[in-house]
Amino acid sequence: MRQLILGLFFITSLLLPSSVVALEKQELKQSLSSAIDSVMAIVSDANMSKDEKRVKVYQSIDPLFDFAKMAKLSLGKRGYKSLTKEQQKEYIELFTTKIKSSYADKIELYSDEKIMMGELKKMKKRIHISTYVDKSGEKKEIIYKYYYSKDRGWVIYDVDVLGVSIVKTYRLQFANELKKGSAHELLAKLRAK
Amino acid sequence: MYIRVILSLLFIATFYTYAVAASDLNSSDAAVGIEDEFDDEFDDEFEEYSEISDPLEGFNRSMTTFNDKLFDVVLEPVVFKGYRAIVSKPVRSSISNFYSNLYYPVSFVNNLLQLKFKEASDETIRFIVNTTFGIGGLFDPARNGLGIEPSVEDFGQTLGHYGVGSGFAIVLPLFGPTNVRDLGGSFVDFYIDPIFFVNLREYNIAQNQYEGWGAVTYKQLNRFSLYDQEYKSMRKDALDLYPYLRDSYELYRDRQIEE
Repeated sequence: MRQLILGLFFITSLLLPSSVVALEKQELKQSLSSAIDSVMAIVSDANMSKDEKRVKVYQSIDPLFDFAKMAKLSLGKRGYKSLTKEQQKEYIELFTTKIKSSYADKIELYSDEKIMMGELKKMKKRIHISTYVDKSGEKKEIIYKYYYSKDRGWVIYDVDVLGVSIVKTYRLQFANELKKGSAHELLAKLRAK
Repeated sequence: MYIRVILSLLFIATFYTYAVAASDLNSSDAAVGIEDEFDDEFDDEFEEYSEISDPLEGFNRSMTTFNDKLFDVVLEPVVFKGYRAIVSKPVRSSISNFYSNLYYPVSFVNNLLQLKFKEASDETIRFIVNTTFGIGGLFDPARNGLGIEPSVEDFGQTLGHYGVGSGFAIVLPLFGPTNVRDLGGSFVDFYIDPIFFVNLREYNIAQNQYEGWGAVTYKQLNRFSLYDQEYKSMRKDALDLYPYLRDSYELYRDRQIEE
């Protein structure tokens, strides 16, 4: 009898992963919302220095974003493959630093405003979660775009600010730079920034 | 003994169920399948944009530099600083609201031209409510009380809605990036916009062309004073400021036209 009960436990535990995935989608919104809340709390905390704030903001957003993916998508296949392995690694690090500080800059602009959660849209292979911020009496939309990563589950690969995709603007910028010079020179430019 | 047999059968059954459930998930949620570093689906998502033509690039670049210098040397340290000291942020927001409210005829006409009747009637309700309860448009009770969001449309968007492309990029002093379609569109909008002076029109607020241009410039400066930090943060993202602003403008307009 005890074996049977143990067996049932085992069965339940086997069935669990599928419900976890379903749950994940519901909790995605919750996790984004609480990450935004904690970022806003950090940003408007008067007792922390700017650098301390940065470190804490990065800690809260790190688990949500796939910065390496953003970096690769922004450079595009051809540009990325023209770099050596070491350069690729350096590029991803440079891009990640840049995008994180850019995100923190933008969030700081809205430290006095309230961010509201919008709807979660489920597409074939993507999930978009809308958020809204009121700025000078106007509603601004920021959309977080998720894809399913093999090892990390649903993670953010792009953010739309007022309908403008961050990855897209970087892609256009990098394409511009690559027209003028090599990926190597682009790297140097990013390093200097 | 037979309990063990039952148990192992159960094991097999659950494994099977789980495998089916998992493969189901794979196909419907798409997620776990094979994934190359560079998914083609991602390419589809990001490669649709074709760059705007830019015969005036040289001029546009200089104008962007001019605007940027204007911002750093004149606007930010002198104009905005002084303006902010005299006019508080809520007041500047109200001034911006006031101008937005006066834009109603333009927005109404362009919504109609795009057959957006719901939006046209929303804009009308907003205008009536904000002009009366919002004290001449200084406040936005239509949005804050009734939850009616603005649906602003201009003639550039109307043209875009009917498939007119942007033409080429133009950068204006102070007003920044635009394109042939949108610049042409604003001249059409000026004929309707009450803040602008148009000969032979009954409802001119401005007494002459200069006052009309003055009102338009003040509208822009007031708005810019509310969004100067945004400009600074955008500027930091740019590797090369001109194409960055140009492309961001195009993407932003594309999105507005789509809506």
